[in-house]
Amino acid sequence: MARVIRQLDDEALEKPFNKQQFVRLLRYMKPYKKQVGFSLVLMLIAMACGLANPFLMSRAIGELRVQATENMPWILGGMVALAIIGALCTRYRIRWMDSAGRRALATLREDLFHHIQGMSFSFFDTRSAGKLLVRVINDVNSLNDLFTNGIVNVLIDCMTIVLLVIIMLLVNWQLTLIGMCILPLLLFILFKVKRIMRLRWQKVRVKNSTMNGYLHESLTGMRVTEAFVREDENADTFRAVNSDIRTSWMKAVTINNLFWPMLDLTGNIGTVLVYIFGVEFIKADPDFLANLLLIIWYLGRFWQPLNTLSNFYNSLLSATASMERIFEIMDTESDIQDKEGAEVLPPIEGRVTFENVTSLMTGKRRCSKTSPLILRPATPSLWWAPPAPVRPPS
Amino acid sequence: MDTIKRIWGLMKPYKKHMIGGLILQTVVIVATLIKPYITKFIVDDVIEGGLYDMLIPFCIMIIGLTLLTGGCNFLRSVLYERMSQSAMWDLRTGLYAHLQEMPYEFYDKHRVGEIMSRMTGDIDGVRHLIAFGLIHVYEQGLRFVGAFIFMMTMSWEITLLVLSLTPVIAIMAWLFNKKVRPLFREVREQNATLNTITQENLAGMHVVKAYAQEPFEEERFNKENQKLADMHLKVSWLWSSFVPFMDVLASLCTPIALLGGLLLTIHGNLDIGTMVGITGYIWMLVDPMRQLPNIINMVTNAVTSAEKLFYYVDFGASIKEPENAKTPVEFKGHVVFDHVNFSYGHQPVLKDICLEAKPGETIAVMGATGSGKSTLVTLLGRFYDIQSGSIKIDGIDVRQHALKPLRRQIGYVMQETFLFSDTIADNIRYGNPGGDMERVERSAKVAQATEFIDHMPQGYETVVGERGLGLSGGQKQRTAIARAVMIDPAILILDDSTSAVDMETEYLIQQELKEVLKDRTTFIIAHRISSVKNADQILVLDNGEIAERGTHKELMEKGGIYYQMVMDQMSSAVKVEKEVQ
Ligand SMILES: Nc1ncnc2c1ncn2[C@@H]1O[C@H](COP(=O)(O)OP(=O)(O)O)[C@@H](O)[C@H]1O
Ligand SMILES: [Mg+2]
Repeated sequence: MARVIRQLDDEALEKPFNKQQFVRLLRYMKPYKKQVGFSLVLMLIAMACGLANPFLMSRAIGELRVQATENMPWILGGMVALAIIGALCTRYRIRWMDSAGRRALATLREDLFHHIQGMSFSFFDTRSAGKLLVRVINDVNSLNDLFTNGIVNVLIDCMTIVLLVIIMLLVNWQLTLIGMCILPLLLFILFKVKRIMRLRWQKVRVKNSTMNGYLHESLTGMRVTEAFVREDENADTFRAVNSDIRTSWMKAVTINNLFWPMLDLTGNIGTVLVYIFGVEFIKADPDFLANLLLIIWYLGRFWQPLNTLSNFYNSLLSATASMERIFEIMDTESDIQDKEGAEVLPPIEGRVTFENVTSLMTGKRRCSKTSPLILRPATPSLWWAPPAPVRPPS
Repeated sequence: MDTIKRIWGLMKPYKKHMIGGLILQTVVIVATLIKPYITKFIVDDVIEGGLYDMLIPFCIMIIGLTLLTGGCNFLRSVLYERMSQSAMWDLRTGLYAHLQEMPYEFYDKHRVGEIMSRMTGDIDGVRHLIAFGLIHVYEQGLRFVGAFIFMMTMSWEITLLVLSLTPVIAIMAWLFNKKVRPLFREVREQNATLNTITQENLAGMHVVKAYAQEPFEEERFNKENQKLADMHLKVSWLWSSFVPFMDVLASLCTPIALLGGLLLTIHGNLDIGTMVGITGYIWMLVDPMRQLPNIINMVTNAVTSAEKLFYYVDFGASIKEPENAKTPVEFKGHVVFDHVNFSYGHQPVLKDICLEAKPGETIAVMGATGSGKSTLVTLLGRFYDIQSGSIKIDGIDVRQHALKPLRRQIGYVMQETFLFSDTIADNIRYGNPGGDMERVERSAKVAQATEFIDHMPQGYETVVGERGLGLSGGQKQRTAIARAVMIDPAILILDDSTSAVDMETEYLIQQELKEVLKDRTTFIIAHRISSVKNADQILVLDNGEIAERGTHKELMEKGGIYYQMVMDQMSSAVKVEKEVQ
């Protein structure tokens, strides 16, 4: 008889985008404005190099077709040069952007830790240490992607798409429009299918952490389990939990593995369309081959920036959830603050007097007003009721 | 090699999946190899040669091949995922069952964190190998060879030219891999360090605050935090030095092929379609070179993980039932220790223990911390095997009993109370999952737990334990007593289990227990004289030996260790009383 495991960690995995908090987060990047700006420029150059490559290649094919050789060294040299420039830009972009992102993250984590240290006991009574640990370690980590790649990539990707469309239109607007027929399909796959994919993977993660929680606890309590002969029931439960993982995994992976074939099919439909309609241009002008290939190659580049955009959209949702949890703590003021002009305590003698104390915890127990409880130095004090004296045997 | 064979053994039950996947993969690769050839035909025959009628059939072929590769690829991946998930299921649930059979000794030696990482990270490493190892090697290898052959038929000159570049890529990928791996490990370790520091700080927050150690803690944290950031940067530094240039090398293959094309054009024997076709094959030659180090990595990692896992599998349960285990239908609870000697390692813990507990008797065990009290009662359920002597329950040596029925008859309330993250009701019926609510409530009443349970937000349905509502020490102990009462044991063991309960409640618990467990044998370990005073027999353990035994009265008359303990407790009680007044 396998029992249902109680889901105890029910934290939101995603939250809708929250502009205010996003801006607040961006403030941590402010000291690195220059680095970010510089990275942006580098990325633009790298992008231009990447786009120029198919162009040069199509020219090369065009030249080879008519057996013209005089321009070839230039074209080939250009391809090599562009590849190297692109790589250099990428290299420095990674370094600058990563160092900005990692340092901003470290500062955020430092601030968070500092804030937690200043909280009073009541704060820790209402939050488990485990949850706070997740805030300081995992939630901050999950913002990394946003910091180091997300923001800059989005700008670049938008520009890439615009540039791609413009170049293609300039090369041949009719074929470009025909090739664009696949765009709705592409968007559907990248945004709708990706979304479903993501939700399913989230479910896998939840199931996995349920399994981890159960496993951890049953290992910690293994002595009790063996003493109470509970092995068979626990094994049943564990099997059920693992079957859950397998089921949710298969569901996620099924749609996951449909993603690439679907993308591939879409791309090929585009290619075929361009061939079919492009042949008419070729009939008129045999030199058109180079342009035809260029359109096909550029078409093949379309999905990539769109893909990163959809990734960004998804990671934004989960980053927002982490962000909110972090700021929730940072916005909680400590309820024990030093009074203004508080004095520094002189060396203490050790005499503690409880007068008129009402604990918030119980609200009722208090010391009697008439006789305050006084603890003198060097007297061990017992906080529990004294045991009843044992009568010596007569 | 042995390990690989054993991993192979995990895959064996899913042979059909495996072979089906290999066949599908072959279809995919052949189709992928044909595609650039079609491009070549389209360029050479249709566009250049003017056979425009052939275009539509070629296009249909492209779409058809795409559907074929997509479909086969999809099926293949689903088959392999199913295989790897099922193999992982087998491995993990099998290991879990095995872990539950492990003697206490195993848990003395291995920390929970360590076992956890075996059961998660290491199992995942093996899963990865099962899902991708074989199929990737096959895929990359076949594609490489296939692309090579197809390219050779198109133009052997260009093929060899491109091929000359691939070892450089492989070497670079290998170098990168070698350098980045230790860095990744460092990052992981630093992450763990930061994690530990934070955890310690948060768990010990009361102490930190009491001693005003916040500035020190922050400094320590900031240092490690900074170190983590620096390490991450080291990784991205290395990454940025290698990966972009590996990409350059890969993309350099195209201009090189074009250069070859140029030279051939000068000599006048190259179709332009061949050139276009070849550009479609280049990545198939390059990709395996880049993947090679990853695959090698995956295999070595998985083998290391598997070795650790198989160590667990091979850790035999040292405590086993005999073939013809005896299981009395009804236990009476007659316990006899006959010259028992026991040690955990080399240091003897119990020396020559003899004792007899008749059904219904209460045996109290006293003695200093570390004198072996808990060990003594642990031996009853045969959680460890003794070195010499014998322990008999109802006249049968515990080593002759069937294990589970034996343990079912002993109600343990352990010294360290552990409750599961579950409702109070389910915690109480832990050893008796089918028990009804009425019985749960009766057990709670015996343990004097009703009073606080009724004040809980959801009563018996309140979730307690690590991830639930926190209970006080005394509340936990009372729940644990109810848990032991719930299984209606023949032998009840209370190991210091009322230490956090006040005396009045303890007295009530004892009265109730006497009532429900009228003719059950009870072992009680306690420090308070009041807890043991009424026992039929009191044993005083000293350094693993029974120093004194007898009833309260007899021991008081004797005036030995026990008498001294009574006197100490009395005088301190009197002192406290005075202090309060
Ligand atoms: N699981 C264990 N592995 C090794 N040594 C142990 C283990 N449990 C207890 N010991 C040792 O055995 C001795 C007796 O321990 P224990 O029975 O717990 O004493 P008591 O319950 O009287 O305090 C101690 O020296 C202790 O360090
Ligand atoms: Mg003990």
